[in-house]
Amino acid sequence: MIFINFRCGHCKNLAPAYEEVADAFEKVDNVVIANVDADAHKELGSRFGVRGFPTLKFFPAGSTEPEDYSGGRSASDIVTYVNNKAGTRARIKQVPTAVTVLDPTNFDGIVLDETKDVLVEFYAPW
Amino acid sequence: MHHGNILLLFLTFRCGHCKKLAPTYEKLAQVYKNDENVVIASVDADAHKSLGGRYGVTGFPTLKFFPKANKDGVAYSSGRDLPDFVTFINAEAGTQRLENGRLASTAGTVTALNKIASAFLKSDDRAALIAEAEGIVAEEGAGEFYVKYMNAINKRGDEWVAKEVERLTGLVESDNIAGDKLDQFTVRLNIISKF
Repeated sequence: MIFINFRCGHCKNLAPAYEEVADAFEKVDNVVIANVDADAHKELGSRFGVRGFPTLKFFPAGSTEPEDYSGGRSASDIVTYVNNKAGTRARIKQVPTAVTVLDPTNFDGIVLDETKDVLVEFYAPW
Repeated sequence: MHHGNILLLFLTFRCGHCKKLAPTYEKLAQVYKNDENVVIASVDADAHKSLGGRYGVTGFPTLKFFPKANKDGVAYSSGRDLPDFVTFINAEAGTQRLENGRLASTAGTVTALNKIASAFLKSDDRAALIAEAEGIVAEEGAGEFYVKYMNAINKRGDEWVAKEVERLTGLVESDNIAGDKLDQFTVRLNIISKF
């Protein structure tokens, strides 16, 4: 007997970014960032020809014809797309953090400063 | 129909350890946000591959510590719980933080002055103790509040000590005070508690 357990890893990966998109549009009345469990509600998935997960579709105002979204799945990619479509200017909320964020422009200035003791976490966002 | 054996391999790359470390790392940065010579930093080494490459980083997350005296960096290989990090940073940087971000009860105290303070209330020659304390303050360049408190006790009476401890404790434990002010009040509480 073979048990195959399929888990939607890509759905889990998208979730935090999708949450950020929702936060960005929280106060924008004419834009709704929504989701549907297409496994629990198969008729909704099949109505729109959804075969794989996650699938992102954009429903413009007053239309029942959605457009497939096949762009990048970062929060900023999705926010840019929705802004373009809806004519809005929502922005991703920056979570205040006490961690010093490094990039090539500030790394040496901060890390190699001999007056500071610096702990650096090298991470990947995926 | 012949169905071949099919092996399906799902590959999901996730830095689970990065996500797991994130809340602790944020707390760590909060602990040291008032110590200007300690920096808790992070770099997306996937977006900035040159930086990870420079330090031979192959797995994530990788933690490296760059103390003042060694900018080649050393691997951080202690534990990834908050107490582990705080113990490490305190030892390396000479800081005295608790996990809740407050200064420990030894912060701002001077051992030689602690001895004088504990003898002060019972002493029959307070003037001599004050003089001695002033000498130590001049030598160490620290501990002015010991002398201030000695003079204040003489002026306001011995019962004032308990009142001042209560006052400072209230301030330190209130939620309204943070940062430098909180550190200053903590140091003063640490010192008055020695009397």
